[in-house]
Amino acid sequence: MNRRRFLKMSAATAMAMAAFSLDGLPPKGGLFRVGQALARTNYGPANGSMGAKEITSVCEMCFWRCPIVTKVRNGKLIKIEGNPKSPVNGQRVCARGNSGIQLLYDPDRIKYPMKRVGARGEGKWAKISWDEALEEIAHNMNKVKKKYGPHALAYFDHGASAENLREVFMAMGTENYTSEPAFFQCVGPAALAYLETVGYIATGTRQYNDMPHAKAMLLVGSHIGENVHVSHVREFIEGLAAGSKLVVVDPRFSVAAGKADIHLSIRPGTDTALLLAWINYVIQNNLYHKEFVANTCQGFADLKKEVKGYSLEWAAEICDLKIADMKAAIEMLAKASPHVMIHPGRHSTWYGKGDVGRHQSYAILSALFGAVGVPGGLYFPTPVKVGHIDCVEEKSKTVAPVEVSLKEDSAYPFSAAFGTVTADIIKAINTSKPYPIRLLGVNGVNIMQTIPDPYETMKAIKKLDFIFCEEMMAGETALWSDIILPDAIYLERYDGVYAYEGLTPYITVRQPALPPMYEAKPPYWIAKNLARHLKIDGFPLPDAKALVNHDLEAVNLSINKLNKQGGIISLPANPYRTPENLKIATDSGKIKLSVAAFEDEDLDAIPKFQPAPAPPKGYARLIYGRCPVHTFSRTMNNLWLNHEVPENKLWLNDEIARQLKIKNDETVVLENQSGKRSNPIKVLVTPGIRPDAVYMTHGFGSKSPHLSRAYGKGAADGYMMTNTVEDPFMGATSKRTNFVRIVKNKSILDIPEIIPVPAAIPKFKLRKLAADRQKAGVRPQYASTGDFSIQERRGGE
Amino acid sequence: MNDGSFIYLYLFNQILATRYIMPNQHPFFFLSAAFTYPEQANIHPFFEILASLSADLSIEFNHQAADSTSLTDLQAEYVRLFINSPAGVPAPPYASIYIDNRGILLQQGHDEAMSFYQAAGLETIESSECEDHIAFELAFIGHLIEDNRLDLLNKFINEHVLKWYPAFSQRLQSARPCHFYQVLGQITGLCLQHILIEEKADE
Repeated sequence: MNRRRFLKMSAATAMAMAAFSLDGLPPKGGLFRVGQALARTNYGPANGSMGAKEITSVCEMCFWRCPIVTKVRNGKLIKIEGNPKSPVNGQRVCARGNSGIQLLYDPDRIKYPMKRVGARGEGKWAKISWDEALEEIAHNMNKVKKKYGPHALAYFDHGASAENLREVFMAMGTENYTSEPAFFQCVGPAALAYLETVGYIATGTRQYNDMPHAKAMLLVGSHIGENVHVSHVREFIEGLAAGSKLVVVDPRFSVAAGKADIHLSIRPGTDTALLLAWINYVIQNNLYHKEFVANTCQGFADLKKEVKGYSLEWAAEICDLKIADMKAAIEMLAKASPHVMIHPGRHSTWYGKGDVGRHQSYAILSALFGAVGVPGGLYFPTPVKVGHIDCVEEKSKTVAPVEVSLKEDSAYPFSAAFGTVTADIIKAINTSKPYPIRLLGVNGVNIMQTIPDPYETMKAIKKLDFIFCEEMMAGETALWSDIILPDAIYLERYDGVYAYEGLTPYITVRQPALPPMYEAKPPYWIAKNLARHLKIDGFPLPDAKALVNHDLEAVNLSINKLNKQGGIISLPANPYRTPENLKIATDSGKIKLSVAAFEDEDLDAIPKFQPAPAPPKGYARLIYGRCPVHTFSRTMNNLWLNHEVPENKLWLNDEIARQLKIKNDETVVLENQSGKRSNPIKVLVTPGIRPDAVYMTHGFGSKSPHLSRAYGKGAADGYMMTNTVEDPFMGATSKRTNFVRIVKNKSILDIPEIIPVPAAIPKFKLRKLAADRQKAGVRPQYASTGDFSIQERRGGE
Repeated sequence: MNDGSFIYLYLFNQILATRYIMPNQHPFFFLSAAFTYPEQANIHPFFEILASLSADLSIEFNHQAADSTSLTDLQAEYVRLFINSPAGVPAPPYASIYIDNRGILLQQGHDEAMSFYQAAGLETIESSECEDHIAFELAFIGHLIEDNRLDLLNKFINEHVLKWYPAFSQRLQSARPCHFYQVLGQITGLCLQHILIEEKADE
C-alpha cells in the first residue's frame, strides 16, 4: 500500500525558519484564528440574486447618476439594477451601470496609498500608510504655500468625490479650484449662453428640456442614443413614440439621425450660419410666437435687424445644404410651436470663437417659438430643498489677496464666476505668470485626456514641486503623481443627498453596498484627515453618513426613513408656467434676444456668424463623439465594457476611402496639422460621414499602460488636439479645430477635397514648421513614443 | 562556520531523526510571510531561508542578486507585481482572478477558499486583503499540516490551489520578477506539487 509523506527539508532550512519566527513576525503568519462556528455561510452557488440583500444607492458610472439597487450576498456585490421606485429610470440601468461590479472588483484598481519611488512618469511605487501619505501631502502644501504663496496650490476637480477636498484647498487661501474640464472643456459656452438669455442654466449637469412632450425636436450635433443617460434616452424615445418630428443637424449619420424626419449633413463649423438663417426666416415669415415675444422677450427689433442679412440662399452655400431641406426643417419645427424642443446641447467647446453664439441661437429660437416654460419646450427646474453644512466654515475659506489674479483678471470677462480657466493654470505653471503654481491636487480628472494639448500639460507637470491625486483606477494622472490616494468607489461610500429637480423630482442618497476594499477610503474621510494634518479647523461631522443624515434632517428625513420607503421619495413637479406666472430670472425679467452684458465687454450682443477655418489642403476636420457603453475616458479598462467596445474606429467617407484605396477595417495612423501622430486605429468606411471630416469616439487610446485592457487600444482624439482657439467669453478651449490626414504603411495620404469650400470660409493656415519638416524628411513626432518614459517591464502574456 | 555551530547542526540533524518535514518546521508559514508586503527593515533572514530552501529543492540561487537588493527595491517590486503597476498588475495574487478565468476579484475562487477555511473551522483575521490572496492560502496549508488534516489538505491543494497557482506562477515568471520573487514563485510551486509524496510503504 502507498503512504503519504511530507516533502524533505534540510536541517539548515529548519533552523533558519526557527530563527525567522523569532524575528518579530507573528507566529504561524498570524493570518488565521479559530472560526466562530455560529454563523455558517453557504459559499456554494445560488440562483441569480436569490436571497441577496438589497441596498438602494446612486450610480456613478457617469454623471447622470441613476438611482439603483445593489444586491449583496455573502459580502459580495452580485448585481446592480435600477431602483424600481425611481421615476426616471425605473428598473433600468445601462451597460455601464451594470458594470459597476467590474469596477469594484477590478484587480487594477488602486488599493493602497502609494508614493513614487522612481522618476515622475516611471510608475515605480511603494505602498505607504495613510498617515505617511497625508503627512507628505500636508508637508508639501505648507511648504509650497510658504515659499510661493497660497495661489501656488491648484486643484483640478470633478464629480461627487472631489467636493470635500475642494474645501481644504479653499481653506489654504488659493483661488485656483473648480477649474473643471467638465466646464471649461465641455458645457461652459452653452451654460453661459442660457444663463444670459433665459436667466438659468437650462443645460448643465442636468438638462431641462421636455422631450417627452415635444411635438418637434431639433438636435444639432447631439447624438442621444450614442451618448446614453438612461432617463434622457427614455425621454427622447417617449417623445418620438408620441409622434414628435425630429430634425438632426450633424455631419455624421448618427443614431439620432437614423430616427430623424430630416437629417441635415452640414459642413462642420457652420452651424451658426444655419441657425441665424433660420432665425431670420422665422422672423421674416411671421413664424414666431408674437404674443410670447412681445410679453416675455426684449431686443426683438435689434435681433430682426441684425439677422436680416442671413438668408437661406446664403446659408445653403456656407453650410453645403439644400435650401429646400433647410426650409422644410424650419417649417416642421415652427409648426410645432410652442411645443418645440430646440435641444440646448451640452458639450459646446467646439470652435472657440462662436460657441457661445451658437447656443445663444438655440435659446433665441426657443424664445421665438414661445417654447419656454411650456410642455415640450425648455422647462424650469423644481427646486428640491435639502440641508447643507460646510466642511470648512465660510470665513475660513477666504481667497488670499493677490496683485494680479489668474481668476479675476483673466482675459475672459465671464470666466471668474465659474472658476479659474483650466488652460490658464497649465500656462501659469509653464510660465510662472502672473504667479508661480507649484503644487497640483487632482481628483476625478484625467488631466492628460481632458485638457487640450497634453504636451503642454506634461511639460507643466514636470515643472511642479509636488503633485498628488485621489483616484480609483490609475489613469495618466496617477502615473505622474508623487502620492496616490486610493478612493473608495461609489458602491463603497456615503456621499450626499441626490435631489433631482427635473420633470419627476425625487430625493435619494448614495449609500455603500459594501465597506471599502483594501485601504481605500471615502472622499469625506480623506478630506477630513488631510485637514487634520494641515491643522485646518472644520469637518464638524464624524463621517459622510452623518453628513447625509444632517442634510436629510432639514426635510424631516433620515437615511433610515428613506430606506423604509425604498430609498427614494418622489416629489411634485412644477416645470411649466402660465403666461401670468412666467418669471424670467434675468436682471430685466425678460428673455434677452440681445445680451447687453456681452456688448459691455465688446462682445456680440446678438450672435454673428464667424466661420471656423476649413481644413487645409490634404486634411479633414477631426470630430468626435460618445459611445453608448463608455463614459469619457474612464471606463475603457472595465472588463465587461471593454469586451463590448474595446477600441474606437475612424469613420471615413466611402468615396475618400475609394480614392485613397483604404479598405474597411484596415489600420491607419493619423497625423495632425502640426505633425503629431496617433496610435493605430481601424477604419470604418461609410457613406455616413461627410468627405471633409473624420470621426472617432472619444476616450480610447489610453497612454497609461496601467490600464491593462485599455492600453494602446484605438486612438485618442485628445492627442491630436494641438490647435486650440479660446472662446472669448469665458476661455473655454476649442476641440474641433484640428485637422488630420492619413498615414498608411508609412506613406502620407492627402485627403482629397471633394466638396469645394466657398471663399467666405478661410482655410486653416498650416504652420510653416510642419510643411518644412515634411520637405526636409524629418522624422515625424509620434504621440505614442518619446513623450512617456514608461518602463515597459511587463512580460509577454 | 566554526566548530561549535557545526556540532550544533549535527546534533540538530540527529534530533530530527528523519529529514522529512515535521509539522512545526514546514515552510508554508514562511512562504506565506514572503508573499506579504515586505516591511521588516532587515530582509536578510528572508533571503537566507530562500537560499536554504533553494538548496533543498535544487533551485539555483543567486547570492549576489540577493545581497544587492534593498528593502525599497523589494517593496517597489512587490507593488509592481502584485498591487499596481504601470504595465497593469502582471500577477494579481488571488485565486479569483484565475479560477474559471474570471479576471476579477471575489468570484468563484474566493468562494472556494472561504468554504475550505470554514470546513477547517478557521477564519481569517480582519485584513485589508482578499481572503483568497496567496499569503492566506499558504498559511492555511500551514495550519492544515500542523493539525494533521491530511484529507482536507489534499482536497484543498488538488481541488483549489493547483487550479490556479500554475497560471499565477506563469504570469509571475513572465513579468521578469526580481530574484527574490522569481525564486519564491518556483519554491512555492515545488512545495505545492510535492508536499504530499506518495511512496511505497516501508513494510
